Amino acid sequence: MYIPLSSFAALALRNMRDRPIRTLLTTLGIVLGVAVVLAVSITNHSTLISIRHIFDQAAGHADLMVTSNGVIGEPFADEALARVRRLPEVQLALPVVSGRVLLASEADRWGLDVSVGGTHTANDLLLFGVDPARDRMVRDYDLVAGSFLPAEDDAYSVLLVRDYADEKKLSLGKDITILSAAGQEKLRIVGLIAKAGPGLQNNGAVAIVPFKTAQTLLEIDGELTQIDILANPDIAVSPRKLEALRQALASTLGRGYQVLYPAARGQIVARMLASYQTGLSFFSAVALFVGAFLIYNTFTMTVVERTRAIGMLRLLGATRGQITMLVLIEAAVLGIWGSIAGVGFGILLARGLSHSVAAVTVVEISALHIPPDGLVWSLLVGLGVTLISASLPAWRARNISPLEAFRSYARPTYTPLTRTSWLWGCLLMLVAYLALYRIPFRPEVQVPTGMASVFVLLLGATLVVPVAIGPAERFLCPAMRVLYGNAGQLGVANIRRAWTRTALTVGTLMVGIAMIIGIQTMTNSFERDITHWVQTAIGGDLYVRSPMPMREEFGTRLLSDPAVAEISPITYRQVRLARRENPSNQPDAVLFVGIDPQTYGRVASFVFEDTRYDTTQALTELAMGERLLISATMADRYGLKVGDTLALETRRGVVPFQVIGVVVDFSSQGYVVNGSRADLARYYGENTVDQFIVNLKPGYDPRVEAKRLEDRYGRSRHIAIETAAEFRAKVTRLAGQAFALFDVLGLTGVVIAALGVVNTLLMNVFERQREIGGLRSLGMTRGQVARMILAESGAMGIIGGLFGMFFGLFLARVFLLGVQEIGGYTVSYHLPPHALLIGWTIALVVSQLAALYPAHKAARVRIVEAIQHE
Amino acid sequence: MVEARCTGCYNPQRMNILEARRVSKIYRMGKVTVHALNEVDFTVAEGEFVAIMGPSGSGKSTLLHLLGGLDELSEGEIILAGHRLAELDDHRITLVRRRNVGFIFQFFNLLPTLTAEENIALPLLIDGQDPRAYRGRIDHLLQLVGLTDRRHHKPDQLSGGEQQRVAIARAFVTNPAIVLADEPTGNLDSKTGEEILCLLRRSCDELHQTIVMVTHDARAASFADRVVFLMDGRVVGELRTTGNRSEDIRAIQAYLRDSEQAAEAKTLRLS
Repeated sequence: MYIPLSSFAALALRNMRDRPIRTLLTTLGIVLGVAVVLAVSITNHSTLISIRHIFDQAAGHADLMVTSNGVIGEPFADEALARVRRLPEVQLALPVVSGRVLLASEADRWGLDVSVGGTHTANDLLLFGVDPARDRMVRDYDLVAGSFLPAEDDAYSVLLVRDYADEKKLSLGKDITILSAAGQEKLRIVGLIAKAGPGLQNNGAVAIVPFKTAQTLLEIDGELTQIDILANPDIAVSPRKLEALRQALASTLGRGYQVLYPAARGQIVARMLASYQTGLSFFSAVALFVGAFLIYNTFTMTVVERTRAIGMLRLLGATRGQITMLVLIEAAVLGIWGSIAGVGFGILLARGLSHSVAAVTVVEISALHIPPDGLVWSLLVGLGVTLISASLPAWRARNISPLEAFRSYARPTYTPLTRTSWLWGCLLMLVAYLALYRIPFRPEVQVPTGMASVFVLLLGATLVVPVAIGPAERFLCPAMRVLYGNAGQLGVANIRRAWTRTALTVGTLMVGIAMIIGIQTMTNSFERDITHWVQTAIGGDLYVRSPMPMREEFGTRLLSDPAVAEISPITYRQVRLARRENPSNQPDAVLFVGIDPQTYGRVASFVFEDTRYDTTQALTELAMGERLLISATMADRYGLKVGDTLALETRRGVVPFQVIGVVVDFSSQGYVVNGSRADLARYYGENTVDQFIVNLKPGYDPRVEAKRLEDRYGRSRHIAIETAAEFRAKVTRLAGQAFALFDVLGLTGVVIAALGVVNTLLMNVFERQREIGGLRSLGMTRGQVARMILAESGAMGIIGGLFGMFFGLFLARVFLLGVQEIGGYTVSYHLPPHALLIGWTIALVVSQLAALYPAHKAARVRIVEAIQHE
Repeated sequence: MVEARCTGCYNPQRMNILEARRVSKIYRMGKVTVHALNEVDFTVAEGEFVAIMGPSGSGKSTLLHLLGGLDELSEGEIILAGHRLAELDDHRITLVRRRNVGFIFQFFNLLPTLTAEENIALPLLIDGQDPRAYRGRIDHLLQLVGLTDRRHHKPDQLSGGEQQRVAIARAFVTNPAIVLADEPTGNLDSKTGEEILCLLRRSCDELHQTIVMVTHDARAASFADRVVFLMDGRVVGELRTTGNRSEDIRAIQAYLRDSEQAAEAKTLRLS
């Protein structure tokens, strides 16, 4: 490509053009970094848009909506509707009753699935009860067949989404049988609607019925789950007036209700995914961080290599500013090219990533939405990171003396890393450590501070690397001689020569490996804890559940089965905390797990934070009533400890429960309290059973017994039985899927680091052409030359791997801290030997693969040309 | 080769383009102080071709660096094309250098990514000019150095002599007040070196270009109008050439021999 030399800036372009491989490798680093950041950003954004879209569509034209405070979907008395309607600013207030039911034909396939957002039922049908006469004033129903619901409030008519009906082979005019709290009921399909508007809910698995029918089926007569509000037109168009109406409604309805903008419901769901999305964003930033190293390293090397030329330009009258600009223009061009390509690649990557994220979060991403400012932001981030990374080399370049032009050979006049850099490295690591562990930051800045600290830590670690180069060379020499012969010994010795370059390359590799090991260790610790929790806390061999409430008596029948040894009932209920308990940003509602203190100990136990405490003692105390075991997350988030009281809102008013222990609990994102079923019955009127935990007698195969019991009771009682092993596998699979994405992002960092290794080795080969020619003239074979380069790279890989292992283990601790801060889970640290092995193997393999091309280039050096090389 | 010189080009009455007054350069390395230059007085008149000679370590390169504003003076004063260098900051010195000084190096120092023509235009580019506006001047310089047909070649496609000719054209392109040459023939064979020196001589004679050249080669120095001898950081003598190159070479060699003997005798006396 011809670049006309019409300005000084064109020199920068010439430099890039004449170093195509280096330019390409550096650009690739930027491309990958920008791509993963953008892909994660697009995926996160698309997930949120999809959630919001579904809720917006379901809400129709409603300006505001009223739900129960804290627990969305929890019924509230329908007298609220009358109170809402009394406000003159309210043009229309419509009742909504929704709940989960099942098609009777699918009861046997019913089960509990887990996702990043928590547990959810599979195959369920959303019963969406609306006012048949007026709902179309708020929501747009795209009727594709039949008619809308008849005007009667209590008709047993249903509208289904056509796609859903087709999938289930249901047709207009036919009846469907559903299972609900009220038992088995038949509904006539009177119309089919398109999968749009309210039909988008629950991915199209929605049955639209008159709200009174829904109340009956869900056994919540006189109660609603939502009120949709249309404000007067003059209010609806004014955000300020609408906000005033929202506040007026909130104060009219009082505590126990929340008045939301329709989009806010989506935000509540989105909040559950926020921690996972933060994790993805963090690891994508790491890839960019590694990219920054690559850019810094390349530009440093380029400046060193061009010291004499830059000196000459200075001599010819180029000012320091012009020299700085020369380097920065090169960086800017690379940054812009790389970012533009990165944006393109990022959009492609987002397609793949969104599928994986959708599988993990169970949010169907309808379409990829690029954040409005996402493209510009990505370009700016790519350009910014490149310019920042190149700024230090640019600063070095501007300080090159014109006298360098008089030298007969290029002589590096400075070393970006000095022999005392490790002191700075230690200082940075200390700062990071203090920020992470010792300085109590305000909660809202804790996460960003923590993330920034990780980057400071990695930067510090990189500065410490040079200390190891010398000893490592001596240590690795014998090993490399064995592996690569005498050429290997020469290769290892080379790492000390361009030691700054080596140190930065090793540093880049170290960051990538540390990330991999950190993520692996975190994943492993998480999985281990979850597995331990599932095995111990949930316990049992089988879980018996039903979409319809079960009676305790059913447990007695199960116990009479010859295969069943023990059985214990569990009841779940969302409960609301009394206002005073709640710090501002924490959820109002938590999951109350009601256990039976008499039998629970026979099938499961609690995993206590304080190991001195035991399950038997806890169960005895729980049996006394008004006592709770809280999760570690609750203890952390609400500042509770053993002996404190936690006030819950109950049907009998606010009741203080005494905290008698802190347990590990991963369910419901850790917002869980364990109490007795008797308390649930006393204070919440809850007598049904959601799940029986079953222990089998020795010698019985859980899988065989699950099938047998399901065959025996499944049809009549609509129960689904899952073995503990299956449930554990689900949890583990989810954790695996969720963390696999982190692994992918970590691996991207390693790939960028590998580009750095290729870059460094190519520069070494270029710089040492004369020397390689000399060695060849002395009788070194091409194979020996190649082995020399492989040994040099291998040494970098080993050192990078070792440092990566060390810092990876530390990073894992930091990540677990992050998991606790962001996700609320307290996970104990387990050192997995396989993670170390994986990390180190990756370092070695990457170092050898990355060295193949440079080794090939070195082996092809022609002796005569090389010894004439200046 | 003895070549007649246009002696009419040098006029002693012309104004000085460069003046160095009591210039000293002192390096301090721990407790050791080294006087690289010691109260050197040195002037160059407009259109003059001056050679600076001296053995290794005599301070000739240091003097060249100071004259070009590349290094800071320890003591004394240098006035270059009317600018007192000691009073200027780095940025201003750079601008003075850009517009008033051309450099020629022993190792050519061409940018490998640029063609001969582009290398010549480089100082214009650095000065923010559009080289296309100077096409006539660049063509003329290419003609002067005999590289019109090699203008699109890159340095690695040119011989050493050709590279140095490009460097000379580059040094002249801004029409500088003075050209400083550091051993311009040091990296060339004798025939090519002579061609380069003839070129410098011609530029002085025909373009009235002021040149200061550092060399340790008597043959090269004989092309100058005047030879200044340095030893141990001091100016120890000066010789005006006659235009008869053979005679001038003999005279310079004799001067060097005498000063070496004098130095040896001094060393013996001291010991």
